Amino acid sequence: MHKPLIPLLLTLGLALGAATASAQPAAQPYAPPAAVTTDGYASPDRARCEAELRKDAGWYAELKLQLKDDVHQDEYATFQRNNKHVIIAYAAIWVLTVGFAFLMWLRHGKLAGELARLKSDIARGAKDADA
Amino acid sequence: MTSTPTSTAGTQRLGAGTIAFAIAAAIAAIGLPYTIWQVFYGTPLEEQLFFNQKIFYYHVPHAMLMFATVFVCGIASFGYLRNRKGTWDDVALAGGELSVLFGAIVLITGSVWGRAAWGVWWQWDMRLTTSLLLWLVMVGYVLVRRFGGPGSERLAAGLAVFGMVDVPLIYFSVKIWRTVHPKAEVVSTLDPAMKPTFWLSFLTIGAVLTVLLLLRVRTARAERELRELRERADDAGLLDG
Repeated sequence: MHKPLIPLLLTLGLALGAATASAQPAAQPYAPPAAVTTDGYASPDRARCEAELRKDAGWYAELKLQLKDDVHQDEYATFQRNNKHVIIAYAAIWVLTVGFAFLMWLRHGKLAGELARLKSDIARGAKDADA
Repeated sequence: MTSTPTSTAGTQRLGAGTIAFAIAAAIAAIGLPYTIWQVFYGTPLEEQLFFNQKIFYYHVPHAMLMFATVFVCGIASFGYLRNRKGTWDDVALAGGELSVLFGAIVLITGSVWGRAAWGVWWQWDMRLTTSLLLWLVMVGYVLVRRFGGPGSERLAAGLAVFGMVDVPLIYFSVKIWRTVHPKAEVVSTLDPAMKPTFWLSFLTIGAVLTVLLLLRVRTARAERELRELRERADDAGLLDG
């Protein structure tokens, strides 16, 4: 019953090691979106938006910051290298599987103890019956 | 004269089980580290989810094998309801417990993936909701088996058969309803560079499942035999005092 636990435990270490330490995906270059052409169309919503932006300097600054290429690149790189969720998912898989195997091992041990106790009780009962 | 064939059959069964266990354990022991290596180093990054897509290689095989465990539990329960043989019940119990384990893995990894892909941990989407429902049915099965007392195995068997009916509903939910969950064709349309690793992962997790199932069946059988032995010894008056 102990033997199946060994490869599982070894692989747990390997899985976490692989996910945390060395798994660095190759970064792909960030490609900015292509410029949108309006073909002379005068959008009333755009005019309203520009008017609102002129009124609200804070919102304008916030939007301008978001449009900065390096902010996009940072977010892009973070998303590409986001291994947090992968680590959580893999850890959950291994904790649950190893936990199940461990509980089964404990149950087996308890069962062996119960069997030994029952045998001893039966032997004692048989001896008493003979006497 | 009758005891010889029975014990021979028993020995053959034990032999087949041991061989199956050894093969599955060997595949699992070799496959687990190799699959992990392949997932992280042998497959390209997916275009939209990038590194987060690595969860797919374990999430989907666990989901497919969860269906298998529910079928094992359901079919064995059906067999038990028909024949009332303890062997069927042992297999059903093992399948039921493993369906809870695999279901928990599917729900947790799916939730983490949802957070990475959709920005939320949970959506009341039909695929997700029916999967949660199946898991709760199987948790119910295990709880009834654990705390239901004598005779509860028949009630639990009915529950397992009911759980089995939920499997096609989960599979076809993405076809019937509009869902945010990827479609069932996601495996067949997988990038050719990812397919071998996916199926390797399926094989390896299947081997782990086989190992756990065989061990759990053995423990369930031992538990049942111990229970029966205690009852017989009690009936014979050997356990008084």
